[in-house]
Amino acid sequence: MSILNRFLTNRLNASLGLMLISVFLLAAILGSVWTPHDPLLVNFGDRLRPPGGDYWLGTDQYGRDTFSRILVGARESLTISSLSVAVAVVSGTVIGALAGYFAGLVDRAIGTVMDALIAFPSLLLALGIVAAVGPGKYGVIVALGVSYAPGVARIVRATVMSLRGRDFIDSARALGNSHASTLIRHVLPNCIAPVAVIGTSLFATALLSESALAFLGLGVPPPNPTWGGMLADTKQFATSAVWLVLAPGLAISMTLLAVNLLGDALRDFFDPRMEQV
Amino acid sequence: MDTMSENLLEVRGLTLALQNRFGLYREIIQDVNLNLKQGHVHAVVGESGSGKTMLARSLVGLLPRGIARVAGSVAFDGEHLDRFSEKDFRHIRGPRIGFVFQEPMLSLNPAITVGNQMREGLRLHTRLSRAEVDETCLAMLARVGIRNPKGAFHAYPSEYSGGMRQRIMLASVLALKPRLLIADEPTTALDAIIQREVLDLMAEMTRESGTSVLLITHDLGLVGEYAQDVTVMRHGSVVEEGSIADTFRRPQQEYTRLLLAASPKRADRKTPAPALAPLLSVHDLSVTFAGRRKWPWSPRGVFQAVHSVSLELQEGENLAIVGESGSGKTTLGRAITGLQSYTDGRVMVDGVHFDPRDRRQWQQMRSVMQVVFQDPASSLNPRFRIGALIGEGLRHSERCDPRETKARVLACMRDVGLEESQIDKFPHELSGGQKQRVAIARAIIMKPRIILADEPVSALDLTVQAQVLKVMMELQEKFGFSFLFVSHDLAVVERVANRVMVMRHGRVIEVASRDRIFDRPLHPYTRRLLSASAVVAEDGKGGFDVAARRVPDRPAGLEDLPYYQDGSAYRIAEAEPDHFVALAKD
Repeated sequence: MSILNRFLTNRLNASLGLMLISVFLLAAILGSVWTPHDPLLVNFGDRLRPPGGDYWLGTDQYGRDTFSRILVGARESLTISSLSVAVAVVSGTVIGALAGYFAGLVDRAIGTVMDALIAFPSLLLALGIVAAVGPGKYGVIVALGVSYAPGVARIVRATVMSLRGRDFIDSARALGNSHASTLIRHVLPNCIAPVAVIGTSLFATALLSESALAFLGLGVPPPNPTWGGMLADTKQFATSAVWLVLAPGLAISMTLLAVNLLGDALRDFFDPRMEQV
Repeated sequence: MDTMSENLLEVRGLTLALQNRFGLYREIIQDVNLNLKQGHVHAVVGESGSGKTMLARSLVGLLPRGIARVAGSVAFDGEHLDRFSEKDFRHIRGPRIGFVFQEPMLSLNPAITVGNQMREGLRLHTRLSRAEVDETCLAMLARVGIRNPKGAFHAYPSEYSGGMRQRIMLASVLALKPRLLIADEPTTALDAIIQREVLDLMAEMTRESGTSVLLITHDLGLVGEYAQDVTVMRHGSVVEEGSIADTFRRPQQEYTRLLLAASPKRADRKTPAPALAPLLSVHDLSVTFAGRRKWPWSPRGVFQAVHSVSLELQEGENLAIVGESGSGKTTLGRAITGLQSYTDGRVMVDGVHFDPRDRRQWQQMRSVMQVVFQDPASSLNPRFRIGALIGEGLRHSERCDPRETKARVLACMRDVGLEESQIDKFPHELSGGQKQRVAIARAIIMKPRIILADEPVSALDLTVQAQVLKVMMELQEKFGFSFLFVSHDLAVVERVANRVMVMRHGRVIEVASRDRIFDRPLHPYTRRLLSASAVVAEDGKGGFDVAARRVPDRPAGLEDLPYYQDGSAYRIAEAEPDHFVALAKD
């Protein structure tokens, strides 16, 4: 508890971010046990109902309850984007750190592969990977993770290379650390700040890319709701039925806000210089 | 007014303060007075944090954001600068007050040719035609000793070395013939010989044009040689002001005396008893770096940083490796400790070959050889607390339980003069001197027999430097390890070394005992290096003398040996017993 306490004291962004993200996590949990209506039930009698009464957030063009769909979608959207960011950050950090630390031939080999991956537009790359892995939730996670990894690797590599020039890496070696323990104990902790920043911004991209894949029929298959998918399905009603766009839009942007606040707070938290401020 | 004609610059009661967004402020300069006489070189001396740079910047309105003048007045050439706006300052900076910055690598714009940077000032402040501007610039470049001024005109700053860039900087600043030149640590980033050349040039040119100089520096040797007057600053206040003769011969204030006495001096050093076998011996060590290829199919260029160097180090001995930047001294040290791979040669410890590629040997060597780096700000991992930093080495060598580790960490902290309460601090919470003590503690906790100290005190202020050197020597006394001491600072070397090895361009130029090197240097390069440094010496009457180091003549019979010069074939020979010098191969 004391770590959480230290993390929250004097950090408005941390408490705010944590609060917001908890709301959405609760929503996701709630969505998997109970919803006011069946999120998949088509009911043409109640098409495009405005919010209020029986339908708290109105209904869509097929008469499905928006609130129920948001709740269920929360689970899908949050798992997909957080897992794909995790895949990207972990693999990108490992690859980038190896390339930056060992430099030379290792760097050149890794760099060539990463450059080739970056050369594809990430959505196109993701499309190809989904086609290979097969559509569905896990296909999307792998596809997005792999297509974001080179970007993370690039940034980690650059950070590690500049750290490599600092004397404390040499002193770590001189004190008897092996390459592995130098890398893990001395290099990686100093990469947290840039990784936190790029991780949070990738979260946003992942949420939206998922909907793009869904739109192309490669994401979570259609009747199942995701936030991105809801946004894509309903954009022609943006003027006539604002709530249809507003509900998933707000959900997405509030999540992003929460993730960004948390990212900032984490970065500060891991910076020893910020300790007493 | 009488005083106005005599003083070019008068500062009265100047107070600068750092303000934050709440309006609270902390004074960084308090009530500073300064009189700069017409045509004089006036030095402002102080350690880091004394406010000397802020004082200089305030004179030309170049204070960083958040720092403002809160009181005092500045009169320059009979005019009050207090009421000057940014626009007025623009007419002062350049034509009337020139400013030379510390770091020539940073103060010239890398994207603009030398010619265009020089033209800028003349175009802004004079009505000369284009052709006349170019003519003036070329003349100035020739004046500061740039070979081929026409070529330099179209070259970029990156094509020049630090010393040459500082010359270009001087040329462009003095082309406007300012009344006052403010030089903020103009040669701190340069090597000794080059420093002397640049300062001689500056002194000569300002004398010719009648320009007064405000020389901001921390180097008392320079002050004694180049300035007529001096202002000593500490913590933002003036401690003492006066002519060099008065201030150095008869320092009135304790702090001035402390500063002068802090310059390292030759101290008696026990020569360790010669053992049968040296502790460390290095045979024909060479390090080459691969250069860039011009085309993918063309061969790689090679740069040889160290040319087959051999050396021996006895138990308890201090061997200083001296040289300018690019001499290969740091690379040599890194190669010996195994941090840098070498192309040729071998390193023997106690007669056993040490191969850094062998993992087990590498691990074992960590408790034999340890390293203290130059800049403690960069050699301490910012995310580790002091206790973890110092105890780091123990994690690998011997398995200590946490209690024992902590006890040993605390013992080492006491040995280097750190407070026990600092064990939980982060490096950024300590001062530079304390950080270097942490770095030393981290090395000695391994109980090494050899410590490679790579410029261990260069980043520190003079008084702190003296304390850290003292701690290092006391520790050596206590634990009996040997130092491989890499340095460019001859005064420090004279203080700590038993033997000295002079290096240049990766080759050994001269090796001998400390007294031999300083009292009867043979090689012309060693002699030049020595004569470029200044010595602060106590005169025995409570004052100090500052003068360029006098280099004694070579002993009879050794005057005209065929000394090695760049480009000639190279061999190292014993000119007198235990005094080796580089000669040309005949």
